[in-house]
Amino acid sequence: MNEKAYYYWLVNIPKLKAESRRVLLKTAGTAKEVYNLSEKWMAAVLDEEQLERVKKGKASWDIEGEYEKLKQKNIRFTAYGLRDYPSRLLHIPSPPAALYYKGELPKDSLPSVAIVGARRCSEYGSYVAKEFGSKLGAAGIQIISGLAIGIDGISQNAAATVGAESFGVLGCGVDICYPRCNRAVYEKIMEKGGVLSEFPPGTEPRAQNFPSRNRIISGLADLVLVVEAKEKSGTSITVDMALEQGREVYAVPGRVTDELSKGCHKLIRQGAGIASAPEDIISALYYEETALAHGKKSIKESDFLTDNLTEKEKAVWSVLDRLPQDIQEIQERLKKKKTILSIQETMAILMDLSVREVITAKNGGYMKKEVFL
Amino acid sequence: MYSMIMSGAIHGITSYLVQVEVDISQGLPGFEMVGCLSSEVKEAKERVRVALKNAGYALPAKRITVNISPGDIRKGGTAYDLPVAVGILQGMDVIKSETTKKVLVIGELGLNGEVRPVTGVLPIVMEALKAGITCCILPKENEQEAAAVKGVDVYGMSHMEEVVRFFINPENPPVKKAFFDVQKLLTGSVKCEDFEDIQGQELIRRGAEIAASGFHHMLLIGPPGSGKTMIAKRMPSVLPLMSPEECLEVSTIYSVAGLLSEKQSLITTRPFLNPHHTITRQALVGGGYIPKPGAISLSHRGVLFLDELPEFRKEALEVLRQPLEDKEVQIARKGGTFTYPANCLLIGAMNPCPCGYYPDRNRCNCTDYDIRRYLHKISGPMLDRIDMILETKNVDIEKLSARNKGESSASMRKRIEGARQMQEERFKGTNLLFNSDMKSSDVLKYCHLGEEETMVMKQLFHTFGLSARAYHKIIKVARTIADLEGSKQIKKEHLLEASCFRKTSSHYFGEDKV
Repeated sequence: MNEKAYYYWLVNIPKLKAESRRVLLKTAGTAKEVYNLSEKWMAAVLDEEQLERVKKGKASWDIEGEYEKLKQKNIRFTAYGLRDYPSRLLHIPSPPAALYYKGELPKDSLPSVAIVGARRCSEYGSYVAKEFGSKLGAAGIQIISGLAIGIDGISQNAAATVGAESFGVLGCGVDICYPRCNRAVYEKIMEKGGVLSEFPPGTEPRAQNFPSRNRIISGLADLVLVVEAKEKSGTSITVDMALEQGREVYAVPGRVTDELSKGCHKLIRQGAGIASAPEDIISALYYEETALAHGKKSIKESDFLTDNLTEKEKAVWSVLDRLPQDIQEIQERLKKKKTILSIQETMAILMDLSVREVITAKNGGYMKKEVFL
Repeated sequence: MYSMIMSGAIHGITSYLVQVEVDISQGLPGFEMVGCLSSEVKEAKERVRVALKNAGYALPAKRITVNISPGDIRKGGTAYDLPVAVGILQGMDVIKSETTKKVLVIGELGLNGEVRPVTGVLPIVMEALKAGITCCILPKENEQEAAAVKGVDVYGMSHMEEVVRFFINPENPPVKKAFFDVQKLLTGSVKCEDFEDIQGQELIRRGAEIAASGFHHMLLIGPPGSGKTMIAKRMPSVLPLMSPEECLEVSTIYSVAGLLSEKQSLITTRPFLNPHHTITRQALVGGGYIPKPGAISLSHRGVLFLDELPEFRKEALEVLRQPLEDKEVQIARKGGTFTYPANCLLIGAMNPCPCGYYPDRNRCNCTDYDIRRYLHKISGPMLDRIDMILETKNVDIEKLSARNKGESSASMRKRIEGARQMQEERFKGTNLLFNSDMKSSDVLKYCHLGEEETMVMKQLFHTFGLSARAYHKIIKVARTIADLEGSKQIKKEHLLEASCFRKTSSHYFGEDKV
């Protein structure tokens, strides 16, 4: 019989302490042997109460049937001690006893980065998450995250969009999509990557599950990248775990006035790496100076883009940023530059440039075409 | 002896003439009133009897029968007191029958013989003119609104005695013929806050200008204190002046609602209604056993401003859908279906999220779910009917403290009047007044796009994935922008500007919804 079926039984014995389970495995070697262990041996390593639990668990559990049920739900299973258990998790404090997953598990051979951050992120945050997600994904890096709203979902979606492997670690059973509004991302990352959880299928998303989920996110990653976080936030739990597990931490800086960047700045102050471009992360992972040095690409691009623009169009283009600016702000900047355009002229030019794809209209504002760094 | 007096009644805002027939004959003394009358009409007999007595005419001890025809329509109100009294006097031979020919009589009587005001005079007098009536006798308080109708002599009476004297000697009436110059009133300025108080905010000002020119429904969305209400409240100061026809149209509604007084006998400036968000749907579209016009009808040809739009009851907002589309509202009651005009400029104002500060994440703590739920209170069909969505932004402190003023309403209005004239010429001979009234077939007819312009529209569709429904909105708004510039042809930059208004706010509701 499949070895996994026994592990599935072992991790699902009701109210069995993690410590007892570890002792049993140490004594017997594998879950199958634990199952076949004589009562005398068990009594030698367990106290009476725990022994009773194992006995009850043995009586009420149909090894083959239960595992078959799991298979039918299309849910895969691995446990600490099995060969396909991610080796990154082997050496973290309190590794998850079992992992349920749909799709695949992160490969040990490929580098992986966890991108985490605020659920209620800013426009800047979502833009950066998208950029890092797609650039790192395209560079062949596995993206790990929590599939939450905000930074998590955005970066995973971006990675999956470029065809990269992305893995969502859930705080509930893998058969439940939480939050529901991320259903599309949930389905999408399953194509190449997967979703995984230490909680058995059917577990409801409870607040207390999430901090322990965070240790798996950082555990599965070689490097943890924080995109946006307030000073006090759930992200700080992930970062603490990462440091405990000896993972490298990088943070994306923001404006000093933004609440949502305060957490990142605090991390940087404490010694986290500065992620000013996806290349920073790539070179940190590969320990090499990549050829994609900062800024080299963007030097010339402005020339060819603005070649066939009129004077007025150039003036408008020159006051735009890499972040969307609303029309009122653009108008102010034009005034400061002593370029007087009526509001209707500015609007017509902005739309014209958007149609010609020199600039991008986004979230009520306008910005230079997305060419990142 | 038989006598007949013409009077009028209203049904919704339409009116019809009624004949008040009086017969005085031998028989058991009594006073009967028939003709499908409600109780307040039947009570007229007591008022008439006493009022006539106090005016010096005791009722004869004969059988008096009054019939108000047509007899199959239920009649309410107190406007029949005076015609009944005049009919009786004629039956008594105090008044000659030839003097009451082609004369319309309306009015309530007090016991002392005083003539008191009634509602709905304006539509009745307009109907009387059509029926060939040449003279109207009505309460003094109502004379001004009636005099706005050209082609009928109007005499306002304050006492029964004056009425009698008038009919005894019509050549030498006891009161002056009422005179009222509508045109003069209409050119007066609107007393309202001025756009010059608003500094900066050029985008919103421009949007407001376009909305006012083409009567495009507008939604203002932005954080608290960003000037949404300020802009909306200043809209009346830039709206084009009312034409005499519009003035009568609006006054008719107010007359029916009983909102005209001696002091304000006509509505000469475009109405501005700002109902509180607790308003019921009946108050919004009209209600009652005999429905009174609701806020949407009272703001006909003017502005209906709904502040804090998502706070309105869902049902109240949803009943607005049909009137906004058809420009009129139909209310069915036991007594028949009433149709009120409802062609108003709807201005909605709302915050983008419950706390109001989204998308400024430094201040906004709402979850995505909260925000979506808040925005979804404005349903898709409702958004469908709104042509322009403008986003307001907070103004920096520097600008607030600056002394320089913005452009004044008067100078904005000049351009708007120009645009209005362009529209008038374009829609001559149709029942369209403003660009926003155009249906999709009208858009094809009146808004021809050149080759380059068609290309631009195609590109816009391609680049932004616009929906088909956006097409007409953009063109209608572009038409107004072209009118503001005095251009007969819609040009490329007009289309681009119109689409910019859409694009700028589409992130709140999604591209295909706006």
